[in-house]
Amino acid sequence: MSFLGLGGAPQVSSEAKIQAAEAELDLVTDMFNRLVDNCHQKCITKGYSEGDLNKNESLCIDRCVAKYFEVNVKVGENMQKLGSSGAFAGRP
Amino acid sequence: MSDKPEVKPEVKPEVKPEVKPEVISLDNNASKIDQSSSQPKIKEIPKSKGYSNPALRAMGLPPLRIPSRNWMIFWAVVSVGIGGIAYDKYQQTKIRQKWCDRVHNYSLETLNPNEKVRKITIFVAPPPNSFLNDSMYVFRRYIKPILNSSGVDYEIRSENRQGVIRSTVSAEIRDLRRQILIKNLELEKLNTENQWFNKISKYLKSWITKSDKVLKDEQDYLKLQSELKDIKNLIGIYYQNESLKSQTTIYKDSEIIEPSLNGGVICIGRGAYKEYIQGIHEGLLGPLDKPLDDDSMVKFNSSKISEEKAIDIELPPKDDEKISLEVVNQDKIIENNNEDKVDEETNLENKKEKEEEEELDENGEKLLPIPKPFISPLDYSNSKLAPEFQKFFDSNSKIPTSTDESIIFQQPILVIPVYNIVGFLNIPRNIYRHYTKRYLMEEYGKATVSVIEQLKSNFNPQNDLDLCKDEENDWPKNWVKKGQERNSEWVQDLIGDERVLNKLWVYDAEKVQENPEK
Repeated sequence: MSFLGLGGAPQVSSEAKIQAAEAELDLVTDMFNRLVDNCHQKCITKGYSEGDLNKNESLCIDRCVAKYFEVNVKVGENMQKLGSSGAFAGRP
Repeated sequence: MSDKPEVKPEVKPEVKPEVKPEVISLDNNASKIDQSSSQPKIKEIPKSKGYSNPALRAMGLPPLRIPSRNWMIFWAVVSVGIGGIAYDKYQQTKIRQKWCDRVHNYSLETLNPNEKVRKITIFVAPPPNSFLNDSMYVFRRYIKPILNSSGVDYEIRSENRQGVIRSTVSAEIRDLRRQILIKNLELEKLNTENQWFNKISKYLKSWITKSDKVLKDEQDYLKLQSELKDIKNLIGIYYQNESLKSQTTIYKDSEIIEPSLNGGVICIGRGAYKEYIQGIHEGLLGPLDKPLDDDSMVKFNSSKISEEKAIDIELPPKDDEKISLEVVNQDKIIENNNEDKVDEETNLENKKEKEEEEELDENGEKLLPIPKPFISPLDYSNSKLAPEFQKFFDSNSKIPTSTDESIIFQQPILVIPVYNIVGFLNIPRNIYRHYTKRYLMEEYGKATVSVIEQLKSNFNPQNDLDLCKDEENDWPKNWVKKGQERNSEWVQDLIGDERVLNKLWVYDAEKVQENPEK
């Protein structure tokens, strides 16, 4: 189709694109919800005596979120390495 | 002891029949007499019968008796050993709780999601001949609980090799100096432009606004795309919450004008403190750019000499030349193409050297070499104190940083010693220390509270360089010797320059009052 090889990459159908985007959004939403659950449980006192966060709670949340993301990235990288090295080959 | 039973029967053989019926008696002494008298010739001591009664017997319990002498000694030693540790731990938790409770009130202030609290920088260096974990243990056990309970944020900067803290601190200060230089240059530029092209710039501005209207559609499109990329627009508390999203991050410390009431620095270990102080000196007194090495210095000097001879100017002594190179100011950046050339050359050479010197770390990754100090302590007195900062030093105000918190050397310092003693012969001392850790807890807790409550005093150039110097007594002799051979920074005396030291602050644990309410 391309004229003198200037056409660019072969086009993916829009439906496949949307599906991929949806899957990604699902993933992100899932991770986000877990993160909120975990950090809420860990950091926020259940008395709810105050509407605002106090210093300790917000610091705790800062750290909690930072650690969660870091671990998430690390696990993801490792899984990718495993996947590409074929350690899971033949297994479901 | 062993003679006694033999003597006793001879002295009072008549007692024998009287005592015999009382054998069942519960008294220990009685049974002893019985033992010695009943079997005078056989040295074997029979077991004491112990205490029993029909009820116990009916339940099938053996008679209760006191264990033998050896067992008693054993149990006494064991229980004193364990009890000592348990008591020490118990006291530690009590003391820790005391300090934690004291500062807990500070953490109850509310904090908006877009605000950031005061942040303390913690430098951690491993004790000599040991691992970083030993110093981290001191932090985790004695300091961290108090910081956590007080609602203060902290950042740990640790090192595994000597010189990391020094080089990062100095690089940070140099960075700031450079930024200020650049800002000043830009300001000058702007001023001149305003003078000359005032009218033109006005015209330009109006033209730009016109062209904006034309591009509006395109901008809308770009905006939409970027919105989709940012997670804040899709999820979480920022989703459809414009007022939150538009808030910028506020650093609480930026609202405090006095620079020494911002942040704070805790150095864990005498080594970390030494490096930190040296880093500050290097950053403030040293040159902005890496100084030339010896070889390239010779080359550079000779080229200069030949040039200057041609113009027939008196030659400055080499030392001065070096200093003038090291004290970099605006003029140097703008002029002096010569120097730039040489700098490039040295950079290339350095790169080569770096490749050769690279070490491998645990993961087999290449470690970058630690840059040598840009200035040696002997040259401190000859060099200028960062001319970029002069304005701020004069008015004793904050040096502007990206977060509007004061730069690290304007924040007070606390030094926490890491007593770590190694070696076989030192085991008794180690054991003693293990049983008296509660005193450390008290000392460190107090010091940490002084950080949180910001009880500071001026740096005393006479004494404060020796803060925690007694830690150096713990450093292994072999290690110190090796360090001196290798010219390590740790084992050399800490040399400071009064101009720098007078700008520093320290936290003063002695100002902490035990019971502020009373």
